[in-house]
Amino acid sequence: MNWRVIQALIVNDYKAFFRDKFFGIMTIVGLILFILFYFVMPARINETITIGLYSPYAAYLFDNIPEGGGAIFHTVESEDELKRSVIDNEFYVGISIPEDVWASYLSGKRPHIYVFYSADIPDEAKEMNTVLIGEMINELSGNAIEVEEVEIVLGPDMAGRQIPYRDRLLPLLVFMLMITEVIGLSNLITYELQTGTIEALLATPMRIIDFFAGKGLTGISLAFSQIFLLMMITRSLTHHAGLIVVALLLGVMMVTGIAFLIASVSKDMVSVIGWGTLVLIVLVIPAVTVVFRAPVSSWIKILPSYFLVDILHKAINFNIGWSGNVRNILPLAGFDIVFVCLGIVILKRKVR
Amino acid sequence: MSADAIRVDNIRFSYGEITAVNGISFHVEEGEIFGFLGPNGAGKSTTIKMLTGQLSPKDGEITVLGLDVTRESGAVQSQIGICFERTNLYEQMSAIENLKFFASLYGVKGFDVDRLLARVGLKDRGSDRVSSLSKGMKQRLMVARALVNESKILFLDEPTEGLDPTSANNIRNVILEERERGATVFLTTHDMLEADKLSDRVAFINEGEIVALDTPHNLKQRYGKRIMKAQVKTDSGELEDREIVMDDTSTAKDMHELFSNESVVTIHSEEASLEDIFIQITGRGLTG
Repeated sequence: MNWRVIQALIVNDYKAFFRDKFFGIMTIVGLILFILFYFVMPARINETITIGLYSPYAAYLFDNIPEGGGAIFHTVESEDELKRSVIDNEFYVGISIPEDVWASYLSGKRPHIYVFYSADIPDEAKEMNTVLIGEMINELSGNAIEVEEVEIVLGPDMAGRQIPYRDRLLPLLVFMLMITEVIGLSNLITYELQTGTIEALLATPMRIIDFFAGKGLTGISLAFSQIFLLMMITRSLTHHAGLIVVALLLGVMMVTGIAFLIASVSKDMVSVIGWGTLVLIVLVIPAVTVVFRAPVSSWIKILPSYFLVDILHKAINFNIGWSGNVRNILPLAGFDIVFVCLGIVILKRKVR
Repeated sequence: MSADAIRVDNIRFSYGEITAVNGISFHVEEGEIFGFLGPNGAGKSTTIKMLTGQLSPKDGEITVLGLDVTRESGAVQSQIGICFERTNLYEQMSAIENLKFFASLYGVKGFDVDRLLARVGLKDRGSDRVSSLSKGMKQRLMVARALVNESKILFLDEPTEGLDPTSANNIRNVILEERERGATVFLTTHDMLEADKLSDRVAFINEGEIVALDTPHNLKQRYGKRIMKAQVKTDSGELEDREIVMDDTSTAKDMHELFSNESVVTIHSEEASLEDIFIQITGRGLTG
């Protein structure tokens, strides 16, 4: 390889990249917006649940409920007020005990207790609350089952330090930056093919291996520098910095291979953006599951981006280091080799 | 006798079933301007691509500056300059940036971009983006790019095609300057007048084969007929053309009869052009 030629190509590519208003502005504004977006998101999660109570005829039942353990109780004056507060999200859940509760109980009937939820509460949360309220009533009525609970947390105990949304968002932001650079790099290569400048380049001392090395290093350095900056500013490199940097380097290498593939099937900037968007949609799925705490289906675990997202999520949000990420590093490196080799082989055929 | 800058021995190339170059052989001497002439699709650009290492011949051998192009294309390409038929510049960059980039690829030290721009008449437009330049200016910049490494051989593929007379003339002057410098120039064109004016020797290529190769003068001698063209006034006062073939046994007699019997208004001799010769050899024109 001829490093003088590769260096000249990288310098030229940086000029061409930022001379293109679309990609120049997208890169700078995108990075600033992502950083701002991160800091605008709340840094902490409110782990307390506010429960509203309406029980005019059995208020004394709740007089001795101890607060703490993440629950705050509020009594209200009417059932209407209770419903309104639940709808307005002032209460996570509202409990109404009707006036005939004791009469029903004493006559041997099963009394009704009404629990109000807002429409967007998931079913799992409703079931959990029903069990919780049943336990609470049992305890208040003196019918508690005498068992000793032994709490064992498998994995890092996150009680009292739930992951804020902005930290859940980080893998997604990383991927958004990566994809912007994938599209930018693909566009640079497509331009060379479209205008025939590649013909002029390959008629100089530049060999095709120099061309791929130059383009690859341009893509890697463009994407990595921005992501590294994002991670530094968001203080995400305080733990396991080595692991995160290695994972990010593997990630940007993988997307550089993908950029070669996109360039090999694209004819112009429009088709580059089209293919790039398709790739973005597929690759961000694992990062989206982290943001929205969605269950990870087995098919998501075969997406190439899953392994990078999982490393970032575990290292940044769960403080898990190398030993807990070996199973992610190896497949990620494997995908790197596959995409880079495939990208070079297919693009080389087009160049020839 | 000068050494060979280019030696081509029986090379062939085909695109699938279509044969583009079919067993051509020739040599170009150092410091020579060699015109490679033929109509579109005759195999000129394919030949230039093989000579510059962009394509490998399916058969035959090419030696450029004593090096086998197929095996040592890198070493060859560092010593040559190419002006492509298709304009392939970085349009969003300035003329200066384009030239400096290519100079850095060749590792040229002390590159004088202003001098080079002045040579092609673009000194005042160096900082302008290429996209804002006219077609003629872009073509002159393409020629300038081929000169950045002061190469030993210049390959110019249709450098003046479709250009205004000023731009075309500028490029012709640069070609002659390069010969003065000692460079060899391999020029493909289908402009026969240009080839006649610039080339030391010309080769005619038609359907992938070289059909004639010599100096323009020798080709005209061999294939062309010198003609005396006269305009005479008839008895009714109308003008008519008369042609007398020179270098013929009856030339003297025909001339005598012309001046004795006709009222000659104008008379001049005319040489066959390279285009006439090409048509005579191949039976087709150069624009087809």
